[in-house]
Amino acid sequence: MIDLDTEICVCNGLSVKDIAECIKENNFTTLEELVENDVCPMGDKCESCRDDGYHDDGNNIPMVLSMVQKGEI
Amino acid sequence: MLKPLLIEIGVEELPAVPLLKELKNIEKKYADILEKNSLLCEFEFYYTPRRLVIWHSEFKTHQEDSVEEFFGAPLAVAYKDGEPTPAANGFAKKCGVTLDELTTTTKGGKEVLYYKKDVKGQASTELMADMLGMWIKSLDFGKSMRWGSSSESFIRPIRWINVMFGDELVDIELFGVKSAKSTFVHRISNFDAVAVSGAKEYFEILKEGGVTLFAEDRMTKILNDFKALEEKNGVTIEIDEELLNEVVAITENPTALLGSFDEEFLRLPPEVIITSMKEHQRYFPVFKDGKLINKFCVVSNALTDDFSLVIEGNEKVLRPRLADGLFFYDNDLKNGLSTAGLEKVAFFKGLGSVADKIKRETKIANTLFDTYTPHAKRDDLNKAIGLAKADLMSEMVYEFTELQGLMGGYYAIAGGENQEVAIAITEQYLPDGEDSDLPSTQLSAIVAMSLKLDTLLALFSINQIPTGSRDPFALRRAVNGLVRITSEHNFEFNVVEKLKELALGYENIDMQKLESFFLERVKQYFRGVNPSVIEAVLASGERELLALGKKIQALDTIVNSEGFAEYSSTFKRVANITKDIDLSQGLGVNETLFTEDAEKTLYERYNEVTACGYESYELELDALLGLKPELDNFFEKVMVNTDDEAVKNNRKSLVASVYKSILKIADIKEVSI
Repeated sequence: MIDLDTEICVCNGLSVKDIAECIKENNFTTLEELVENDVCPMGDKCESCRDDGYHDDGNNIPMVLSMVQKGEI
Repeated sequence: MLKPLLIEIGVEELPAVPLLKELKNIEKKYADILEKNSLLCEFEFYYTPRRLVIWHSEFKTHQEDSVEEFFGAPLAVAYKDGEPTPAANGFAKKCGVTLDELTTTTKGGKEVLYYKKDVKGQASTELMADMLGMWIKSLDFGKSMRWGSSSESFIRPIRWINVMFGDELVDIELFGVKSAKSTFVHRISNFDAVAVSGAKEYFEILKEGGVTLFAEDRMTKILNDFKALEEKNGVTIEIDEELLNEVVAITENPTALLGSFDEEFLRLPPEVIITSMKEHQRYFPVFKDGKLINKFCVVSNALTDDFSLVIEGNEKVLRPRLADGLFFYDNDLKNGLSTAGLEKVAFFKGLGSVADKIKRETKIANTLFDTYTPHAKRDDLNKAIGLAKADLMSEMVYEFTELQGLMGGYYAIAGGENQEVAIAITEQYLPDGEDSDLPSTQLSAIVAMSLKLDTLLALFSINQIPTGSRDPFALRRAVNGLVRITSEHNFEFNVVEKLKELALGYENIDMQKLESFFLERVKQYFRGVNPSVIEAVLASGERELLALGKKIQALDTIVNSEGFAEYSSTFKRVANITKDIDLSQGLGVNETLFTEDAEKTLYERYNEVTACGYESYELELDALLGLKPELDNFFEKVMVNTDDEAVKNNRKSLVASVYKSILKIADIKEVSI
C-alpha cells in the first residue's frame, strides 16, 4: 500500500491523500475532470504526474483515481 | 474579412429515427467546434435524407490572433539548489520551449514559472478539413457502417462533399471523398452531379432540382396536402407528430397521396391496421365520421405529375401485411385465449416463467383487492389477472409485440369474457409513458398495479436494482406508474407498510433500498415543486402516497405565498429550541407553571387552533402557522432557559407541542426558499 503522504503532483504540492480527498469531495470520475478542475488544480503544470509520475516511478493521478474508485483509499 | 460559407455533406439515404434523435445535437456539436477554433458565428443547419448542410451567410476568413498563457510550478519546486527539477523541465517541454525561454510571474502569492505564447490566427480554410472531420466524427447516430476500403465509419456512406467559401472551393478530403464544386439534386430530376458556381447559387440549384431543403417547408407542404385531401374526400387524416417528423426526414420532395385497401381488412381491430400501416409503411390512418376507413395516406418522395403508379405500388405493399394480420387474427380467434404454454415462456432468469409471474401477481392483486374493495367482482379480477398474459402466446402479438394487452382484450371479448375483464387485460401495461393514459377502471388499476409491483419486487429480490443511467427493466417507469395510478384512483398506498406486506412472498429484498428507490420516484413525480418542500413532508415521516401528495401541495401553496419568509424564521427557531426534546413522547404542559402572560396566551391560542377540525392540510397548516404572533411575543417576553428546571422544561414542552403539531404535516425547518 502506497504511503498516503507520497507527493504525486509536486508542482501543486498534492499528496495521495490530498488528491483522494479532492476526488471524493467532488465526485470526480475521470482523469480529464481531475486535471481540468478549478477546485484543487493538479496535473496542469509539468504534467508528469498524468502519466510516468513526477519521479518516473509510476505514482500518478490515474493510479490515485483508480485506488479511490476501488475503495482502497 | 467575411465571406459566405456553404458546407454540404452528401450521403446515401439517412434513416429517419437516428437522424431525428441526433438532430438537436448536430448544431450544438458544430457550434462547439467553431467555438474551440475561435470561429463561432451565426449559421443555419438544414437536412434532407441525402444531405447535411451548414450555411454561414458570413464567415471569418481568418481566426483572430490570440495569446496563450501557461503557468508552471512555483519556483521553490521548479528549482532545487539552482538546478531545474522535473517540474521545470516538464513545464518547458509542455510549452514546447527551452528552459531559458521561460519567465516567472506571481500567481496566488507565489512566484511561478510562466510562458506566454502569441498564437497567430490561421486561415479558416486551413482549419476546415480538421473542423469538419471532427464534426462528422462527433455525430452519434447509434449505429454506423463502413464502406469501400475505408476504415472510417458513418451512419451511411458519404458520397460527396461540397465546401464553398464565397465562390471558391475549399479543397478538403474526408472519408476518402474529395470536395468538389458540385451537388446532387433529386434523383428523378438528375442522376449526375450538378455543378455549383458559388455558395449563393446552391439553393437555387436544389430548388430547381426538386429538393426542398428546409424541413419546415417540407412539413408545410405535407400538411397542406393533407388538408387538400381531407377536403376533397371528406375524410380526416390522423396526424401522428412523430410519424410526421419521420416522413419529413425521409423526403426531399414530399407529396401526400390517398390510397385504399380491401374493406375485408376492416374486420381487423383498428389498432392492428394502424400499427401495420404506421410502423411498417409510414402511412397515416384515415377516418370518416370518427371511424377508420379502408384508406391510407402515404407521403411520396417522387417527382412526377402522375402519382397513380406510386399509389398502386403502395397499395400492393400494404395488402400482404394486412392479409398476414387477418390470418393471425383468425387463427388466434380459432385457438381462443389460453394460458397454455406460458409456463415455458421465461420471465427472467431466476424468476421463473410468465406462469409463475401470473401466480405472484394474483396474490398481490387479491391483497390490493382486499385493501381497496373496488366496485368489482373478485372473480373478474382473478380472470383478468389469469388471462392478462395469455395473448403473449397469440400469433398476432408474436408478430406485433406492441399490441400486447390490447389483443388480449379483444380476444377476451371474443372468448365471452365480460367488458370489465377485457378492459383490465387491455389496460394492464398502462401507464406506459409519461403522458400515457391511466387504467380507466378500479379493476384495471389493480391489475396494472399488480403487474408493476411484482416486476419491482421480483427484480429487487434478485438484486436487479436500477443504477444511475441503467434501468433495463423500466422499474422507474413502473414506480412512476404506481404513483400515478394510486393518485388517479384515490388508492391509499403506504410505501413502507404496503411494500412490506407485499414483499412477504419474495426473498432477499433489501427493504431499505426498495423504499428509498420508491421515494426517489415519488420526489420525481412531484418535480416542479420546491424540492425542500418534498423533503420537509417526507421528514414528517409520512409515507402514504395520497396524504403525501396532499401535504406537499398544501405546504407548497403556503411556501409560495407572500410573506412565508417571515414565518419561516419564527418556525425554524421553534424547531431549534425543541431539537433535544423527544417528540415521540407525550409533551405534558403544566399551566400552573406559567409565569408570563405570553406563555398563557400562546397556550390558549394553541389549544384553540388544535381543537378545530380542518377540511384540508392547507387550512390546518395555515392555522398552525397563524400562531406566529403569539410565538414571536413568547420569544420576546419569555426566557426559555431559566434556572428553574421545571419552568424551563414546561416552556420547552409548550413550544415543542406547536412544533409537533406542524410536524404531523411537515418538518418546517427543512424548507428553504
